Amino acid sequence: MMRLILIPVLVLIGAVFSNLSFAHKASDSFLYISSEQIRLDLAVQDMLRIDLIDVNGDGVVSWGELRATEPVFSALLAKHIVLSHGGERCGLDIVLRGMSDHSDGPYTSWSLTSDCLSRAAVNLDYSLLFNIDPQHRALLLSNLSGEKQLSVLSPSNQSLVLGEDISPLSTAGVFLWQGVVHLLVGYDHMLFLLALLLPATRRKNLGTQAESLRRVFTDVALVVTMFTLAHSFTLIAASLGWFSLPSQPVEIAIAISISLAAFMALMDVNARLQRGLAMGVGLIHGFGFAGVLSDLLAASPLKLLALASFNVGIELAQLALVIIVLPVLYRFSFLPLYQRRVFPLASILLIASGLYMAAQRI
Amino acid sequence: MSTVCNLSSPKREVARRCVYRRAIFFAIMIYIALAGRLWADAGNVDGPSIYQPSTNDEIIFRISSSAIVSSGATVITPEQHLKAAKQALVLFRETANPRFLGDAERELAAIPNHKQSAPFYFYRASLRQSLHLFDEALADLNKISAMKADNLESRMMRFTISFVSGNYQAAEQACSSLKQYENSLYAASCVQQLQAVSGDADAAYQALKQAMAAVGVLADRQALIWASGTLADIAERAGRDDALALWQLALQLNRGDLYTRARLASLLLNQGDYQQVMSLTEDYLAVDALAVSRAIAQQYLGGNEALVRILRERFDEARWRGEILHKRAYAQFLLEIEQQPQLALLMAEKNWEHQREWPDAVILSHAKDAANAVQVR
Repeated sequence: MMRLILIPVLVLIGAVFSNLSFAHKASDSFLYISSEQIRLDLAVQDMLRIDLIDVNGDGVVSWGELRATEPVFSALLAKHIVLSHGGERCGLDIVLRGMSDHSDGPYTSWSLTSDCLSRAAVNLDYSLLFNIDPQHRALLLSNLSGEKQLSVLSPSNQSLVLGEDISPLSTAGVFLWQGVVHLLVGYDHMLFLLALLLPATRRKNLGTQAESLRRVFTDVALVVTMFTLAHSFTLIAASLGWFSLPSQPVEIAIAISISLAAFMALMDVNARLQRGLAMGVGLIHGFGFAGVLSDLLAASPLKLLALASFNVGIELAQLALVIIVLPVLYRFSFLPLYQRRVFPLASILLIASGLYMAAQRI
Repeated sequence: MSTVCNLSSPKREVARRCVYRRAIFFAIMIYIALAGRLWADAGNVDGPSIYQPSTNDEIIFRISSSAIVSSGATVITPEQHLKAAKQALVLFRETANPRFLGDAERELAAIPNHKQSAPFYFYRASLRQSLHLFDEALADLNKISAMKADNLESRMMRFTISFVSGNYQAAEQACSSLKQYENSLYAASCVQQLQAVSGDADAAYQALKQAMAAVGVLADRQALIWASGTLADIAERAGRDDALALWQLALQLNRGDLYTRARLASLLLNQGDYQQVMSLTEDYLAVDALAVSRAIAQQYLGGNEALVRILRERFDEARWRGEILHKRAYAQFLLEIEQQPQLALLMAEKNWEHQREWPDAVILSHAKDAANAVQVR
């Protein structure tokens, strides 16, 4: 709510504010769509804008007056709500079922039945009230695609295909790619991963026989997978609203986790502790991923598949990063210069970066 | 493979496999639980329950003067469309009923391009401002400027939009252009409002008070109403004790102004005067900001369940529609009623992107504090 300037017309406004029985909101109709029927809830306020309902002019609308309008409104609904399949218009049986209550008052509830609803890919065209109120919207809730699907029809978007199969392959592809992208653009997650890689390149005794690259890779992959499993859990939990954490401490904790992982690498703590850190910190990183996923997920009807694909995308990106970076570091790890200078310097730089980011986020 | 899973096995390969196996089992369990939850939630598309009134005489709806919006079917000339649009905007201002905005849009859309005059652009800017389409509203005001038809109203609207959206440079330019008008209270109001946001709210308060006193009884009533609201806003920003009395005065001067009523209710709420909030918001449940203030006051006094249910449904429907116009009120609802500081912060931040009045800063600050304080639920 903001101050509105309308000076010339302020003069016209008296101090009268009429008593309001119901809340105000923009004009909406509600369509609940299943394979059996379309249920339409239409506001009595909007029916008054379409046609004369209070025929006796007594200032109230009775149930009898509403029932009397059934033939007129049935014809109107048939004109403005059209189902078609394969280019052919489907027959619609329209019946006034009764009343229902929404947040802005009473609505008439209509049942629209058609044989077409049991078929796949039925086209729905809706144009009711658009000529009277360009701000009118039809709010749809359908289960014809297997999951609950919310949609909105407006003057600029009057059609919708019902029961259209949503491609699981396409959803999986989109979210898998999003997982990859979000890992790559999330530089703090990348730095944490790098800090997890460092201990694998630590050589205490350069003269002794080193572990094979394959074995080092499986060790690192295990740590990275632990990290993925942990952040998958909190990502799912946060995305579904099971629980949440304030964003600022999460962001600070993510930054500190980089320093901690790098410090552990520098101090050469054992692998089990490092796996524990990856799991523990992964739980926090999941909240960070959830923040970017919420908008994307809201738009997807196949949430389970979407979440799984997003996590797989992150894991694949992490493993790809390990595959690219680890052999290079492994190669350098045999150089005395790497062990004496590069390794400690990289660790210290990572510690400093984490602390700097944490300070920035306070 | 029947290897016994013993993590303390001296054989490193066996231990590693065991860890892998357990991790995979753990992941599968998570996804099974998740699938079950989503599956249980899917498929239900029932709306609110349908009932049959018992007799034909049962009254379903009382038609008030503000409930019916003229369809404008008899309007034929562009001038009449413009007049109908203006009437719809006045009714929206009086009642906060968004259906009137639909009427105004319909009437304005019926005016052909070659008949789109400066008043047309002014009313369309007003419509767009009410729909929080600030850039589009400014584009209409630019058209008025291009037609060299700027007047006090269009300049004031430009100032208000720029100020509210935090573009203080543009607001200052609009404010400077107001100085050419005889009625200096509008100019004084905007100058001091800008000074108040720049940090010197106390000096701004004193300066505006002096300007109002200087004009005295000769002041134009509309300008005095505007200046009173501005003074109250500055006083609240400065943390002055008389902010409450000033908002009360502003409401006395213009009883029908919903914005002033909402600001007064909000201040009373912050001061813990819940009974006053109740009497101030009675009969104003239709207005989101006032209804939310009332629900919070009721929360302290007891018995707000019915109103909370209505508000929850109203905001759910707005989210479904995809247009939450009153993000500030929704953020306050999420914070104070739903106890969801994270979501409240998200909404307050979204609100702050477009709207930067004093109450927007307050709700953002409260949401930030609450979000930072909350622990894992």
